[in-house]
Amino acid sequence: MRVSNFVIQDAIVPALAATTKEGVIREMVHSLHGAGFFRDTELDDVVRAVMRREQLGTTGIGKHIAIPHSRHPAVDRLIGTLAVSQAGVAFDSLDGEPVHVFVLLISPQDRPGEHLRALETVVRSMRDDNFVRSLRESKSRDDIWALLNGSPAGW
Amino acid sequence: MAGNGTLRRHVTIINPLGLHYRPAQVFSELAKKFQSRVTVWNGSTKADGLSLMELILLVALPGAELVLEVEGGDAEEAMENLAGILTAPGDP
Repeated sequence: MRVSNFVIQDAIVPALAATTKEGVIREMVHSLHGAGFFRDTELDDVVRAVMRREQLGTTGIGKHIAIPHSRHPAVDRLIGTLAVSQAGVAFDSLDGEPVHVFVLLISPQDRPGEHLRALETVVRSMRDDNFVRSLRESKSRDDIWALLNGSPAGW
Repeated sequence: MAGNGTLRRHVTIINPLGLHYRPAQVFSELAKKFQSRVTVWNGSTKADGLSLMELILLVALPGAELVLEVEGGDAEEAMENLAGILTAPGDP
């Protein structure tokens, strides 16, 4: 599995405007909506679900990345998007650092294997500091997509 | 095993969501509270029990049989508590 298998290219956000945790999540969910996912009436509920999950324990896993996520009936397959904040956003990260790279995952209710493999794929790719640095330095959606696809096998 | 021995236990994941972010996070936070060294294996993949990232990289699906190893002065207490998280039927 590669990050590009589930990140929706058209929903990538190369320059987040949001400066708060909820703002980032809302901006990413709306970006997925712009790429054709979720009904208008589902948006607030998807954001709420991700925020509820965040309140159980931060997904700011450290090293300037966060993996906000939730299961939700609005999807029948796992989808995601990736967003970059140049300024960094406070996310109660485990290492106390601001987050610059976000990967949002929305999974169906009943596919634990797919969800776990996607989490593993994101964590594995983000352990590479050079990869995270390259993402932070990307200027456009195309740059980010090329990085996600040009990475060595196993990402 | 008494004293500063190494305890090892086979545990099976029965949480229908597997060892996903939430239980892995609770496990790693709890492991930090003990003095003992904590290691978890899924087959040949090894994770430091204090590392949330390494625990996620185990990809422990429902039904996975893991090996939990605890070594140190508080190993018995650590083992009981940590094994309980891995074998819980649902999220903590």
